[in-house]
Formats: sequence, C-alpha cells, structure tokens
Amino acid sequence: MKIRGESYFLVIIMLFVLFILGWSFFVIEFLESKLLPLLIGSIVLILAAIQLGSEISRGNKLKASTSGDESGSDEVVYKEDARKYLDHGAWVAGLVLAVYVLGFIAAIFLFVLLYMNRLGARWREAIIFAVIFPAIIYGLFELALGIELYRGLVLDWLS
Amino acid sequence: MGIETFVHALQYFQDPAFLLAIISGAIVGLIFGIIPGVSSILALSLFLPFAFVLKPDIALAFMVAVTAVTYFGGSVTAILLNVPGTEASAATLLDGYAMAQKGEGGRALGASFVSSALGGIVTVFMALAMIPLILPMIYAITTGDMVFLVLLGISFIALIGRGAMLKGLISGGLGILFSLVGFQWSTGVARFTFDIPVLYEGIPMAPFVLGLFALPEMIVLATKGGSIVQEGVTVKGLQGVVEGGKDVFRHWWLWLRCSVFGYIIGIIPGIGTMASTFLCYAHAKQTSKHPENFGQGTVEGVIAPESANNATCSGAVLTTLALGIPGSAPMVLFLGGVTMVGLTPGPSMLTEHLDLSISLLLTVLAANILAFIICFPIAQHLAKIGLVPARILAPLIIVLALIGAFAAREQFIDILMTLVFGALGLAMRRWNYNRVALLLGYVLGVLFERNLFVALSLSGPLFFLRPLSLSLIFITIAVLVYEPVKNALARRRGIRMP
Repeated sequence: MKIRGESYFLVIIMLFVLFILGWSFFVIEFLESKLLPLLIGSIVLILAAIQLGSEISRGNKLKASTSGDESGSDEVVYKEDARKYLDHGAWVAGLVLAVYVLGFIAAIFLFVLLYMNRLGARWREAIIFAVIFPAIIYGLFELALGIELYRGLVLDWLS
Repeated sequence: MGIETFVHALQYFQDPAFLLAIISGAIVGLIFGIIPGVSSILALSLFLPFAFVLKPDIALAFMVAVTAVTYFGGSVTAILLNVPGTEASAATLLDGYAMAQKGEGGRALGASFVSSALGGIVTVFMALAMIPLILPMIYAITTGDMVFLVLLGISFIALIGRGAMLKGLISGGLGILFSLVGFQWSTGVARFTFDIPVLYEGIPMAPFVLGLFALPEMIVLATKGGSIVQEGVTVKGLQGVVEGGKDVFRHWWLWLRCSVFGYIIGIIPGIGTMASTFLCYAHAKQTSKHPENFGQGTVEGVIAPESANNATCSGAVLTTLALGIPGSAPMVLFLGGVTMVGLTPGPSMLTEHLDLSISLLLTVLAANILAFIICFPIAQHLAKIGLVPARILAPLIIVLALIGAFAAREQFIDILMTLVFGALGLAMRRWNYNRVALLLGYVLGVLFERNLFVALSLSGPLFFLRPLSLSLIFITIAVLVYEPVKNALARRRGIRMP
C-alpha cells in the first residue's frame, strides 16, 4: 500500500476533527454550544474518510499502472517541492523568531537583507532594500498610522 | 427604491476620502493585476487588517475598486508578455499574445481596455435596474431561509475547485469549525479557547486570511525564483491602441452579448470569472464567420473574454451584497471585509444599507472609468510592472503580511497564527484543497449558527417547512449531487471523466 503526502495531510485533518469532536462531546457544557461542532465535525470527518479511501486506492492503482522509473521520478519531484517549501517556510519562521527577539524593524532589516540575497539579489541591491523598507514601514505604521510595532525581547530587556 | 436612495448613494461620492479610496483601489488593483503570481485576493488580504480603522463605506469602496479593475491589469501581461496576470486573463492570452507577435499589441490592448471598461460600466446599470426587482424577494427572506442560503453559498463555492468537490466541502466544513472558536453567542460558553484570552473573540480574520493566501503564494513564488516573466513584446505609439478601441464598436454586438453573458455568470455564485471568459471566447469562435482565425491573433478573440471579465464583477458584487453569497473568489474576501467593518452580510445590505450598496455598485462603474483613463494613454509602459522580480516581491510581501496580521490587534500571537495558517494554506495549495471555501465557511459560520438557533427558537425544529427554505434545500442538494451523478452516469456509459 502506497501512502502519499496528501494522505498524511488528510490524516492530520481527521485527527484535528476528532479532537474537535472529543472536546465538544466531553468538555463543552450546553447542547446549544456543542451541537454545531458535533454536526459539522462529523460531516467533515466522514467526507475526509471518503477522500482518504479514494486517495489510497488511487495511489495503489497508480503504483500498479506506472513503471518503477515513472513513479520514482514523481516521488523525486514531490520531495524536491517539499524540500523547497520547507526551506522557504523556514525563512518565514526565522523572520517570526527574529521579530520576537529583535522586534519588527531590526528583524525586517535582517530578513530583507539575507532573504533577498538567498533569492539571488546582489548584496548591494539587498542592502538598499534592507535599509529603505524598514524605514518606510516605520514611517507608515508607527508615525502615520500610530501602530506600535512589536519591539522584541532585546529592546524590552534593554529598556 | 426611490430616487432619494439613489441621491443618498451619490452623496458618498462627495466625500474626498471615498473618492481617494476608489482611486487608490483602482491603482492597487491594476498593479496587482499586472504582476503575475499575485492577484486581487492577495491585495484584499493585505488590506483587510486595516479595513476596521476606516469608515465602512471607504473600506468597502477600496475593496470593490481593487476587485473591479484587476482584470484590466491581468490582460496587459497576457497580451504583451504571454503570461496572464490573473487567471481570468488566460482566455485573452490566446489571441492577444498572437496579435502582439504580429505587431498588433497596441490594437489588442486598446480592444481589451475598451471592451473591459464598457462591459463593466453597462452591467452596473443592469445591476442597478435589477435591485427593485429583487428587493421584494429579499424582504421575504427569514432567518430560517438564511440558514440554507449560507449552506447554498458554501456548496456553490465548493464547486469552484474543479473536479474536487469533496475537497471543497471538507475545506468549507473546516472553515465553519474555525469560525466556532470563541464565545458562543447565545450561551456565552467559550469553545476551543484553551483559556487563551485573545481567542475569546474567535480566530481573528487578519492572520487567518494573510496566512491562508499571502504566505503560501509568496513561498511558491520564491520557490520558482528568478523573474516572474521575461521581457515580452513592446508597443510603440498610441495609434494601434486607438484602432483597437474602434474595433470594439465595429464588433459591438459581440461585445454586448459577451457582457450580458459575463454579467449573468457573475450573478450565479461559484462559477467564477475564468469560466465566463472561456465561455465567451468559445461563443465568439462558434458564432464567428472566420473561426479558423481564432488562436492566430484575431481581435474578436480579445473582445469576447474582455467584455465578460469586468461584467462578471458587477453581477458578483450584486449577488454578494443581496444574498451574502459571494459570486467569485475575491468576493469572499469582500464579504470578510463587510464583516470586519461591522456590517452583516446578506439581505440586510439591501434592506438596511441600500444607499451604501448602490454606492458600491457605482464604485464598480467609477473604478472601470478610472482604470480606462489610467491604462489607455500609458498602455505601452504598463507591462514593465509585471517584470518585478520575485527576489524583491516575495520578501516585501511576506513582511507586509506579518505586519498586517499584527497591526489589527497589536498581539504577537497573531503573527504566530499567521505562520500556522500559512502552513495550512501551503498544504491546501499543494494538494488542491479549496482555500476560498475554507474562508467562506469561516466568514459565514457564525452567521449560520446564529440564524439556525434564532430560527429554532422562533419556529421550532420544523422551521425549514417554508417554500423558500425548501427550494434552497432542493437547490443545495441538486448542486451537491449533480457532479457525482453526472460522473456515475458517464462511467456507466463508459466515458472516461477528466
């Protein structure tokens, strides 16, 4: 039996919905409050189970009908895609972590500088954007709109 | 609907901020339309966190203006760069780029701008004329009917993901589950909040939308790397552009037919602009005296889809305002905007805020005129916007998305939520789940629950035994079973379905 990435995603959805159903059934007090989560959760769970069944059977049919080389190249493309998504996703997660530690302005400077370079920009171009963009953000959000941008752990600790 | 309401609607246009919202919306819509890989959905997602700081009419006018003109921009890159800026411009590409390669790029652009603008303008008047006709029906809708109207809306949107209705329904159901986080309105019970105070009011819209749409698109864009498009065909002078405009009047009957088709498709939720443009392209080819010229660079192949795309917007705005059922994917975000500014989507937009609704339809008209005025004289330079490289676009929009998520409530947890929903959005995009249906479920879920319990308390468990409710139930079932039944019948006849 061949389990594809999509099937894992469906399993995660089903686990999430099972959690919602369990929480609704055992923790939420009134019927009025738990009725809709139970109703919609059950429907989604059934639909997801049908979809999972069809995914697994389609995966098996594909495995049976394609040669080893073709299915192998499919898997390589999928893994390559997943690796790239994880790579760029990690950059975004890194930005969030940097915002938490250093605050928005410093994090944006670092992120734009390094990520633009990672995407193929020359250092000079990256530095120009890394300087200009946080300045625009600061002017627009802090000064014009009066939104206090997150200062980060380091600035909080220093002040 | 009296003349007074119309005058009140026009009074919105006396407010400079309202006009500024339309102008800026038109410019933003054009830019986001021209750049392939980004769309009006992304533009609206980035704007949504700031909607609540503006007056409702200004925020909604901006959103309508963005949606109304995106297709103008999308056609520019389709014609000159062979890359559709929006999916609705894909049909324009077939003959538009072929014309550009023959040295008729200006003519294709002129035909595109004039047919788009006129299609958008004329269908606004059609939408306005329809309001008095549909108002009696709107007044007849009860809370019980609203329950099934919401279900119908989610079912229609689930159909947008072609060939993946089950995935659409799963997405819509998940959206409703996400909408249930927070205090339940009738009992005051906190659901799925895990004692985190910021979740008591539910999952905030800004991180939800930005995570689902902005982050995945930018990660995919960054993954592809390099420039989004390469240098394409250039246009010199305005003579060809003017000639293209004249072509629309030479083919006025085709333009009118396709505008009306586009408008009707826009009114029907769940079909989408892309379908309307290809349908009109096919219609133009079928009815042409020279169908063999289609695909080789004929101006009718540009006029037909371009008349339809902006016309679809007028119909979609009307359906979204009148019924709370979005006529197209960007309209789901518009619906989110309606909620965010404190209004209730659905019939009350016509019964209680008719002047605002009319002003928003007039905004479609104004945005089309503006886009035409902007695009026509600088047609030859517009495509350059599409050449912005991914290495600049992706980092900037990722940063804007995180700031947008934070700005609405100034809570760091909203940034974390954006990251989580970004991962969900990326997985959904990767495996063709319907993110628009998820968002619609999230926007309409609360409305669904509220109407359900009001209807139950007012009329008991048999609240659905009304002609309109029963009709809506019938239509919903028909929508849901149509595709499986069609596929099953085709399999029995031995036809392989795509």
